[in-house]
Amino acid sequence: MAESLQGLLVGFQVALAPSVLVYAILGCVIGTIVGVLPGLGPLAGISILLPISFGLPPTTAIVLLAGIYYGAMYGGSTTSILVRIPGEAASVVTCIDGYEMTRQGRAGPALAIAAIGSFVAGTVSVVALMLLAPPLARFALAFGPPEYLALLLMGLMVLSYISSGPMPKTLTMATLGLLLGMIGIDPMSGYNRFAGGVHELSDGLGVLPLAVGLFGVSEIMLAYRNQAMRPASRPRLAELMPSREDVRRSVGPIGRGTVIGFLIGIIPGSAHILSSFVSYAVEKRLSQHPEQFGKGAVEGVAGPESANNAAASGAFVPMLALGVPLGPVQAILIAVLMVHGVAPGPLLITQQPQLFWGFIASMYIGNLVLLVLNLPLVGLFVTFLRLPYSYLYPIILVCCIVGVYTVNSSMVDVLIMTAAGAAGYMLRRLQYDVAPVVLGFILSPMLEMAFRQSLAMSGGDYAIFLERPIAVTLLAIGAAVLLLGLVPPLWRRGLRRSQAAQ
Amino acid sequence: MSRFWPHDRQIGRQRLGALALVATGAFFVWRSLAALPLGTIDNPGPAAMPLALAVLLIVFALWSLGGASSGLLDPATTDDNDAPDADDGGVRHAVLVIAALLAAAVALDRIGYRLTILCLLLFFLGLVERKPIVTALVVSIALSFGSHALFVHVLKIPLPSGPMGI
Repeated sequence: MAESLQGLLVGFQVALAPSVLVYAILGCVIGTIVGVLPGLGPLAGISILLPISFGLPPTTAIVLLAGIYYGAMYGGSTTSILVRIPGEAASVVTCIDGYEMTRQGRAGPALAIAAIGSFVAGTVSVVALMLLAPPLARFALAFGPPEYLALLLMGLMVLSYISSGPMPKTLTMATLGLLLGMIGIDPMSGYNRFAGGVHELSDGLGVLPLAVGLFGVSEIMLAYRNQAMRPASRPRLAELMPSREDVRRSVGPIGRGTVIGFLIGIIPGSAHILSSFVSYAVEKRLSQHPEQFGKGAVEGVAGPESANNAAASGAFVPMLALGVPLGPVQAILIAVLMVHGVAPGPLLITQQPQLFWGFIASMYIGNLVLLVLNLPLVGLFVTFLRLPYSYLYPIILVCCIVGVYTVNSSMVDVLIMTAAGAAGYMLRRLQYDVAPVVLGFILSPMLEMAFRQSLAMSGGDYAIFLERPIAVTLLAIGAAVLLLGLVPPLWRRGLRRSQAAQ
Repeated sequence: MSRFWPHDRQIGRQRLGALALVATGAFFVWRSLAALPLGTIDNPGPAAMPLALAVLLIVFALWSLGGASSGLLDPATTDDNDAPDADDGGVRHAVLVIAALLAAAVALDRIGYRLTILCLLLFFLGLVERKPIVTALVVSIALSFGSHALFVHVLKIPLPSGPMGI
């Protein structure tokens, strides 16, 4: 505990340095705008703006991008409440009661409760992250290649189970990502794989062109059909004050949402989306007035908004403690660390204390900044909703091109982005979730390296994966989750057959 | 019957999508076996992991295909995305975006950042969105030259120049 507090002190010295603080605030502002703008989620926002971070020191870069991430979490609630358009996927649930409160003339209290809940959940979950990550990292020092392989496989299995799409589709996308990650020079043998003679592909496809294409470009193409804007009201500061009754009814949901969100956030995949749905279901179940849900119940705003912000922090636990990204946003942040020459992993906390604790401290500061941004300045962000989409999307496209081109000054990267955009558009039209592609792509080299190192360690004996307790436990969990995912489709098929027979 | 048409079409698309993924997997199987050493079971070569993943991709895509055929995967996919009018407009716009990005990729190194972005913005604002020509020109010039100044002079990100240093 004392060690954590000492680390936090170092972190605040880093995070409060003007050069870092400015970028923390900038990240929060950009993130809030990204969250407010319908269609641009945190993943697309981070992907598009990633190149800006390349010229920055690693701590500043990660602080900026994380600010965009949790800023988008905050901002996403604004459009959900005011215009019933979720700014990002985790805010879908907030639309239900948040917009009903707006229709009843209570937009101010809804925004205030969402912001307060997000602030409390964000702050408490950063404390939990701070306390949990160091011991987990120490535990992970016992991990060798077999354990990492088992962890990565378990992560992919859990992801396929909890993903929003059907399991076969998620597994297909994760496998596609893993396969795309194989393109380029094999680090162990030096063979150039699947590059087709294109020199630029020797280093692989690159996470940035792939992510910007799959999320940014495809989003522009998909959002084109849903560009009709609804008139958004601009609540005044005086209207933001929630009543004592609102506060009383929100305390429990905020507390429960924080715990639920943080725990679900550690699970692989886009857990922040899942957490808001779980929180909403829990609050409805626990409420003495479940009939009010869907008709403007403040609990339906407080719980989910707290949960998705807590989940955003929880998702950083495996990333910071193990160096393993179990969500697409964390995967991109890990890639940023690697671009800056920082090796993510259990030793990150001891070898890069300034980065780790600076990042933690910046999250405290970011939460405070976001509370300010999302209450008094809410009217300013609503203005962005009035920007016509016909002007907005060409500007976003320019950002995509610049972002991707500037990394290697290569037109091949822009072509990869374009191809990924076209593929992402088609896949998303076919209801494939493309997030596992990026996750698989980033995990791919780690997975192959862990697999081949494990076999090298054991002299080619595959029993190594079953002889080590941690590895076998993780593999067993992964297998159980995979089997669990197979049960509902088989059960549904059996039910249909029996219905057909009757 | 027409009520069920979009759903049937959606299932048809799902099958096509799954088959495209099967073809992708088959391509990687072919390239793995043709161009890379497979190694041995206790010492896998550079082809081993891609081959295993390509086979898995085919298996999972076929699983998706089976689900699409039986209607098990997405029983409620007949949303407004399938309305023919919306579909045509959306696809047309998607094709335009892809074409514009391809052109921009080729043009960047040849005519420079400012001219490429100027043409790209004029294309979208003037031709696709049919904004008044003066508005389209002003916005395009301001954004292409303004963003160049921002990236090059403020953020210190180098961008390509075209003829006469523009």
